[in-house]
Amino acid sequence: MIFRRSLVLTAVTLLLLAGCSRHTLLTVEADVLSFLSDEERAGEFSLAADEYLLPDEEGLTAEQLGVPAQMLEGLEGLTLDFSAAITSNAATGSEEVAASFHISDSSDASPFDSPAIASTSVSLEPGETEQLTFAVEVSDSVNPDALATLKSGDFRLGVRLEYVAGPSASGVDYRLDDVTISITVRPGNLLPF
Amino acid sequence: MIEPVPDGTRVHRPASFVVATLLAALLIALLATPMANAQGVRSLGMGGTSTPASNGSGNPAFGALPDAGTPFFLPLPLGAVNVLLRPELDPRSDQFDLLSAFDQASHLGTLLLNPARSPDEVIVSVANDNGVPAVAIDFVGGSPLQISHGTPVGYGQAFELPIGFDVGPVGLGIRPYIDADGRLTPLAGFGELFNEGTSSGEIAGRLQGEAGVGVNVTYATALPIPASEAFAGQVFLGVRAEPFIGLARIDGTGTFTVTTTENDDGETEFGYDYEGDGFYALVGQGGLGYGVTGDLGVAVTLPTPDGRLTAGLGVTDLGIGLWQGMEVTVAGDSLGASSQTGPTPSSRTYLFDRFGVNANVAYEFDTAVLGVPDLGSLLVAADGAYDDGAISGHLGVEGGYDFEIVQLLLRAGGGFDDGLTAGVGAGVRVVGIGFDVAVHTYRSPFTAHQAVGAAVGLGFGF
Repeated sequence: MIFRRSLVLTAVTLLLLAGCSRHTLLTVEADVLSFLSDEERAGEFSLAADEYLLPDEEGLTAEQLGVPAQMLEGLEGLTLDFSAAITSNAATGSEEVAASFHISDSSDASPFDSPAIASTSVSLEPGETEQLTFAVEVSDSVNPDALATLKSGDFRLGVRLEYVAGPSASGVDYRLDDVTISITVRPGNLLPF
Repeated sequence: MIEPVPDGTRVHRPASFVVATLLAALLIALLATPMANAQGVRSLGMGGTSTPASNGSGNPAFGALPDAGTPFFLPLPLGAVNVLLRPELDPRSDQFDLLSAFDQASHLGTLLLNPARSPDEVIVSVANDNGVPAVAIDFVGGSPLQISHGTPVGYGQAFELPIGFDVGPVGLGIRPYIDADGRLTPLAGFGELFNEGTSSGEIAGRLQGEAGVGVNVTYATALPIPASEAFAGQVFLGVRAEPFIGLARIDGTGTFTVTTTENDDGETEFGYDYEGDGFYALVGQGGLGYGVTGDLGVAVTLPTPDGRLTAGLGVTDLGIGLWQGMEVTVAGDSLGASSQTGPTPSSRTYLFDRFGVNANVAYEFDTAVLGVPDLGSLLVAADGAYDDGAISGHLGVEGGYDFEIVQLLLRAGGGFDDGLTAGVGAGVRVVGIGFDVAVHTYRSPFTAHQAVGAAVGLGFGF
């Protein structure tokens, strides 16, 4: 999925139509899941360390996000809501699945080489279905270092869903229920005075 | 030598520059206020209703009414003062709000108590709706924006500083003016952008502005109709001709289309394309305009047993304007294609481009017949107008009470003028000096917001 630069330009145009002020925030909220095919939304882990990376190994860069550098300077924050249903296929023994959100600067080949900004995990008993849910906030007050990385425009970000542990010859089914990412900028800094 | 400013550095302007800017703004406001408030504080107190006495510019026939001697009014530029009181109107403030500033600037004679506010947040939601990428926009907080209802958004404002005097039966005047109007018309799909979302939308816009100086000659006279039993009234005709020199003009139209599509890789792409054509002329840069406009009017007064009826019909801006300027067309899209032709020297002719019609009716009661103690005058007035595609109408009342040498006037009214208008007002007349105050409401530009403000004016020569 690529957000083209024009999206932001369009939004800026609309903002100007709407009138603009230094207090107005512009939030672009993407329902990531709606852009994935049914095959991409669900799958199966059977081996320990099986993982699903969103969007992919290289993560999402500023260029792909399509936000011009000048707007990123006015970045106020980013939020990510993630929810997936995990169903155990094991006959015996418990299983564990984890999800994490990563932001690195683009000198890393993959955002997943950096420690997670937020992560959560769930343990499942045989046959059980659990919801794996987390919400991340990146702002001045929460994860300020990550905000600085995002503001620099030089970043990669991504979500990892990982089968951490389980008895052999078992596995889990996963189905993504919600992946919504939103970025908020204050375009008032684009006012020419 | 001027040092280049490094990228990303904010320029700190010296305080003297800021003061000079504010003074310049105040001066412009002082000059522009009388006409930004053309209808006057009296009219604002009647919800925008114009009366035969106040309708000098809309119907030249009213100039011949027996009691047409118009005092000199000076509405005070309270709106400019508001810049000092409200941080959202101060461009240097962190709370600066362009929509608030625009609202106040459009009503310089009124101290706005609640100027329109920009949204606190604009949320652009992006999703894939059954294989079709879609975008939806929500505004959170701020004044409700007309554009979000998918309805056309218009703006029109005239600033003038008419100066006139009578030479026998003829009125002479000079009228520097600035007119500005624009309109955005949502086309296919655009309104959905603010509701369930859309994969494409189109909007068309038009912007026009003109500045110049006109010299006008007005002649109005009573028709020599002998009084008869069938018709005891008088009929007046008036004509105004105004040759003008145009100093600046801008005239542009364009369309803007937003689309979301899925490319061969299954990726969603947001795109836009635009096309527009514009004409601009600026004196000193090879541009100039000239022409003549004219107004025609007819008015009738009819005495009745209880008072006097005055009615009038005016036709304005029967004119032709010839402009020398530059023509530009532009087109482009989000894939990087862009084309431009011009600017090439060009001329444009405008015929009746601001044509308008206005009608007034007013009834002055004979207060002796009414028998209300101290009531010196009672006027009920209504007007209706068509001007540049917009219609308006008002109804107002004014009662005058006489106390010794002081006359107290109380007013109220309301109507429709690009949104609901309403007002209440009061005036005092003492030894040739008048003081008027009005509290009124109107719809702020681009929004469904009802702004409330107060206007104050001084008058001389009663």
